[in-house]
Amino acid sequence: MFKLVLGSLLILMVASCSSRTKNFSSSSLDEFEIPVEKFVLSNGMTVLLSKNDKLPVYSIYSYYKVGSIYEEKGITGASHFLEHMMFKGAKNFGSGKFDTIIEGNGGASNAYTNYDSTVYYELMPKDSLELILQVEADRMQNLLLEPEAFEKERQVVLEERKMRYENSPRGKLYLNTLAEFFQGTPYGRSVIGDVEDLKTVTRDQIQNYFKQFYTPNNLILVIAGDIDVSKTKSMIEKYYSQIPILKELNEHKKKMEQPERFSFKGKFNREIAFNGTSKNPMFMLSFQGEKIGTRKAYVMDLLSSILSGGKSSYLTQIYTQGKKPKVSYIYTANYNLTYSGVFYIMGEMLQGVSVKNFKNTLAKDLTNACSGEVVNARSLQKVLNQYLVGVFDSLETNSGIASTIGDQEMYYGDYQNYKKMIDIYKSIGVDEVIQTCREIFDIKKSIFTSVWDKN
Amino acid sequence: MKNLKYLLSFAAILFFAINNNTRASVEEYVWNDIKVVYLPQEKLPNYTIAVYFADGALSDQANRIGETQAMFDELTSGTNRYDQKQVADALEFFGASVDTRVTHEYSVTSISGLIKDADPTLKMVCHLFRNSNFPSKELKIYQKQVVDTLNNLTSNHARLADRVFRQVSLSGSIYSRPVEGQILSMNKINSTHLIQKLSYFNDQVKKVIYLTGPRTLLSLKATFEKDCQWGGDKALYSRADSETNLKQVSVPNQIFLLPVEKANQAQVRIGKFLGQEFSRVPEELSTFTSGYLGSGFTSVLMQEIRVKKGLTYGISAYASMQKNYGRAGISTSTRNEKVSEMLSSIKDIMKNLESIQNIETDTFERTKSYLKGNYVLGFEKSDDYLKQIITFDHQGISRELFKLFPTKIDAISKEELVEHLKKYFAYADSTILIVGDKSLLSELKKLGDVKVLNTKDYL
Repeated sequence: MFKLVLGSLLILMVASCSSRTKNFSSSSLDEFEIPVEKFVLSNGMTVLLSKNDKLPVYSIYSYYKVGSIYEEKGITGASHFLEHMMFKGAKNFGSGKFDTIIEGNGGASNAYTNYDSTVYYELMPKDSLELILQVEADRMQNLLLEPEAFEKERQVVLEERKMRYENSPRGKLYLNTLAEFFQGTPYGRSVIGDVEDLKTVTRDQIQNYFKQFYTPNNLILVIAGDIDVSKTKSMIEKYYSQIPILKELNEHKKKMEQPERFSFKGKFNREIAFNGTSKNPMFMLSFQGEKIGTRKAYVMDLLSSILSGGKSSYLTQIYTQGKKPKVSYIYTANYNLTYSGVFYIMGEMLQGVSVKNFKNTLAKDLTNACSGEVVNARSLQKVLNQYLVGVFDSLETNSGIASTIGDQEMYYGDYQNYKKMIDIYKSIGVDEVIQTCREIFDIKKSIFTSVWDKN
Repeated sequence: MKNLKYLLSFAAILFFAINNNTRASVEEYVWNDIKVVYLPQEKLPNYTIAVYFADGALSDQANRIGETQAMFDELTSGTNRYDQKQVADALEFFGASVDTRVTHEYSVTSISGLIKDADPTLKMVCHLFRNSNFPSKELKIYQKQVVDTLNNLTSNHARLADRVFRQVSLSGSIYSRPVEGQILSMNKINSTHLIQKLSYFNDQVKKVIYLTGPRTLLSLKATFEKDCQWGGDKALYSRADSETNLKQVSVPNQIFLLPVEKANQAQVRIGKFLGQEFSRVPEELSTFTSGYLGSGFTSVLMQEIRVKKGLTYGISAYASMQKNYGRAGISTSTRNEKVSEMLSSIKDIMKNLESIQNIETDTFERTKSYLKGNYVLGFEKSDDYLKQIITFDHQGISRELFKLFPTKIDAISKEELVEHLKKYFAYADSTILIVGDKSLLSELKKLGDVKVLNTKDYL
């Protein structure tokens, strides 16, 4: 949520401003509109088009509504592995041709996978749009998944896992903490997958997964940039509308989205020490969070920023600037997922700081944070001002616009949701933030984890 | 045929884009003898001010390496009027950020925020430049944090490899110094040193002011003059114009191993120092040479090392200059048991590319399209464009290159590529660093002379 909600909100607010060149003011941002045309093809595919002719370039984002929560035991990491294989070639354009077409036409591409979605994007010069739509539609229907390329990429994914988690104490702490926190739920598995599964998953399993989820009724296509909206619409119809809908998709996803799969099964009031190569203890203190879109989730966004947004924030002042600084860095994150959430504080202690004492002090300081001294009209206004700058900054690019409206459509089913979010943020007062602060920072309902070479 | 059509129309678009984003829009002024470069951006109510200082970490005293970085980092730590919390609170209330990038040759302080608050923000920044007194209490906290972070650098093998590789590959040159400082030098810096350093940057070092945002930014002239008090004809020193010790004593083709505990993946760095003679190599040639070798998913190294062999998640090549020196190299990682294969493969690739017959036309042409297209994408954000202008200005590269870049890239021949691949990336001229498990030593010894390093010597 930290990224998806606040980031998106602010980006959208800025994006709206871009349609006007004069008279902008922070007080009337919610009056602005991002120019978007939305339509749904007969096969269920959702399309968002946003014209921005600042430069003769565009960004195209393909949001597949499948991420690691749809994986079953034995194939953890399938969504991410498939993301890698999507760059390896498809029937019409051929093996290994995807990247050569993108880069040969002056563009760049990449992708990312998370718990809920897999997103592909290309940043391209203007006149390549028809070709890129054909290439995207081809890989969506006719992915080759060649055995040799599959095996090479298995090694690449294992290397990526080492880089992000196994050889990084911070990555290890994050991965293991979420595994403990979301124990017994799909959010407790790593998006990149377990090593054993990555070593044994077969091409047939990945192909089956691809057929189950890479369907038009599971896709949001977003294009922002210098496009002719009418012509773009015709091209999308031409290359995507013949792709058959998968009628079983909703039924299958429904099973995977059963609330009981995501109900909290972890145990609170625990301390877990992981061994890692860090000479200083790195820690996470995790509290139960909110799923995406609730009012409380928005309140927690504000709270998170008051606690650690910038050098003047409450925790940063106490822990990095006080009389006896205890950490080299500290930050909070309000991570809201589609079916669950976690609010955590993460940091790295300085040498000589006792892990045990640190946890108790932090717990006390979090309790003290829930007061008018920390949460007040000025601190709320400061956070909103900081958000605005970030939003305006993001709005300058087609990527920023496309990912913002794409995220809104993906997580709220409505690209215009940003307007409601603006109203919600504005409506949140000091008392509500303090109340929420008191509710969530109950140390008996938390898990404290650390990684250290002395653990 | 289809692709050819797209490429032709793409070239036309590129020409249009660059012409419309550079030549007509950058304006120049002189405020109190300081050059001002303004890039209009009228669509959004935000701004960036970048103050270029023509000196950087090379101004550090030999026993106080990291002093310039510390001075800029601690600029917000307190003044005669405000403590660090008040400073941070005032700036953050405006949503403003103040940050300085220090390189060896120059430094750039960037200030950004909402245009409606630009004037009070700049007033505060000017106050900091004129009145920061670097309270020793705050400086001690900063030093403790820097030292602790350096001591724990072994927890991030990639960052450790980057730091150590600079020191071993540029050994003998003053550019081997780490900008961010060293454990031993950090504790020798005191408040008086930082006050003197600030005074030097205020009163002696040449400056250029870069602005992007709505035109009302130009009304900040008075604040710059009255509050920052920069200008006049005294502050003219420019590090990059002076002679710099470029002597280098590192041994080419030397393999260094830096053992780290419990690593199941090794960091690999291969590269060399580029002396002043390389600053005469046209920018587009260094960009193209490194781009062909290791930028983008279809570059030679990505295709050979990742796609065909599955040896790594990522591999990249770079060749970049400041004004008086530069570096060229390859950066990657691989599993322990494949380090030898990785090095042998890179060596073979580089040997292979010494012959013009082995430069594949498809890859050669595709690299041109890729670099030209991505060049345009770099103009989407005014901030990025401003950064590029600052880099060009520092190096003395004409801004005409912005519009000539596509034509110059198109004009590069295979002969020039091969010549520059040999100049920048000849394996035999390169220093090699492996950061990984100590068990790699025996395998590496089969490839050449190996010197084992101790992490402590590089922190």
